[in-house]
Amino acid sequence: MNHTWRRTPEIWAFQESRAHYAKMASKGWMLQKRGTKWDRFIRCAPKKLQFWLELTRNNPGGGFFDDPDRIPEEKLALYEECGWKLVAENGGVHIFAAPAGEEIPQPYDIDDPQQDEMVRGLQKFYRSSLIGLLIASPLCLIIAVALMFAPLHKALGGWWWIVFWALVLLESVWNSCYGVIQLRRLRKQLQQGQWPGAKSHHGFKAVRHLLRALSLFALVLGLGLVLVSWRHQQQPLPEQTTLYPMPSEVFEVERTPDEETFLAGMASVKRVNQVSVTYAWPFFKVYEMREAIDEDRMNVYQDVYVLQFEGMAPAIARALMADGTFAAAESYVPVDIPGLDAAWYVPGGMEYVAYRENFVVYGTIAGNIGAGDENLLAMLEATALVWN
Amino acid sequence: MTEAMYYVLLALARPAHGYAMMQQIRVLSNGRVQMGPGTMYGLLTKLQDLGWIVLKAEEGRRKTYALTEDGHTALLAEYERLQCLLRDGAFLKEGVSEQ
Repeated sequence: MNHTWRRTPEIWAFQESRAHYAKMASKGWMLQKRGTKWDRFIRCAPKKLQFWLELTRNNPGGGFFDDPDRIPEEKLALYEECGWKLVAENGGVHIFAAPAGEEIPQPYDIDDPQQDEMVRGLQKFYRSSLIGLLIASPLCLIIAVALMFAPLHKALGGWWWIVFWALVLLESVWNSCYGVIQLRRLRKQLQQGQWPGAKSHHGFKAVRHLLRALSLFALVLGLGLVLVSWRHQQQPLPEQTTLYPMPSEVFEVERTPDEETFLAGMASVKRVNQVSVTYAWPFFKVYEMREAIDEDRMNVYQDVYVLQFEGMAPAIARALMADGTFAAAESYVPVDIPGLDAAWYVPGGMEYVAYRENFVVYGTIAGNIGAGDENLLAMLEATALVWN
Repeated sequence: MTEAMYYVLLALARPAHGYAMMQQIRVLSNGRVQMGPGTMYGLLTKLQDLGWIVLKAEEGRRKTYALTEDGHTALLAEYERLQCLLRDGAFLKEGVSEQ
């Protein structure tokens, strides 16, 4: 293996970076490329080297330092004549190396005002990035609000998305805050005429690793749920199930042939006589089915929630009534159906809701002939039979 | 004028490039002042902005600088100021020897 990669040290960690690169060189890994997140090292004979980080302006007009983005050739020549060789650069960060233990002058005197200017410039940069992050944080809130207006199963199934972005944001805020504090410390020590020692920053790294691990977990979990849901999307409707009644059996009519639904763009079930499954871990799993019967004169949609926690059923039922497509929550009338813990339907409307233990159903009957109260009640009774 | 600026101007008694100036400063100060390349480059930029030194020649990446008249005047003024400081404090040593 001729190459290896290591995390790029934070930009504020001057002494730590110098010590890190020197340690890698002593182990036979020479810095080859400085990245934004990862540094690339190439295999070499173990060397005793010292390193220096030179920061220059990283964007025209808004930079920190006197120099333009690249180090001027004259300055580079001066460094080289003194024994400092430019080994890597990225943006405004230039890394020089020189043999350790030889009489090679440090690039800057400790009381050089340029050092203070550089640290002040970095402080300004970190503070402004912190402000940017604080401005960006309401984006998370916007996503959360957008999910609130999405169908219930999508809203609860998308929680990992909010958690993921919140963690990513939190990590950036943590990095910036810590950077501001460390730069203040660095400046203070430079003003006192001493180079700060290389600290390990274990606490900082531990928090950062934790936040990264959690965001990675949220991302993997979320993508896993999407993948699992995707694999179960658009299954053909079975002849019968223990989850919901088959409307064609309830009303004793023929199913119409499979075809794309007119709600294809919006609904999870894109074809008639299909069922899709959505996983909203750890809350529930949702089975959405649509059956078209009686030559498409009647369409029955059933969303069956299989809850992880039984106690959630009343709350989910109420949320579904509040979230209903065609009727307001107050239009639902309770009805006593043997075999169901609770049931409601909309008289003269198209919807019904019921639950038993950890099962909740939200059903809609639509089509040319309309729903009819007797059909809604028939579906509720059939649901009670299937669930028992 | 800072100590570093003073030594850069001193090193430019004869036109020189940056690295030669760094070596000259070391000799002039008997090794006491060892200027780094970053500090030297920053000073060259600053002294040019002040109009105290000027670019005289360019040879590849090396640039040779020379003192301007203003630079010479500033250097002399600083030298005299430093002499004044020494004179004013001379009694310290005299006082010690009298005691």
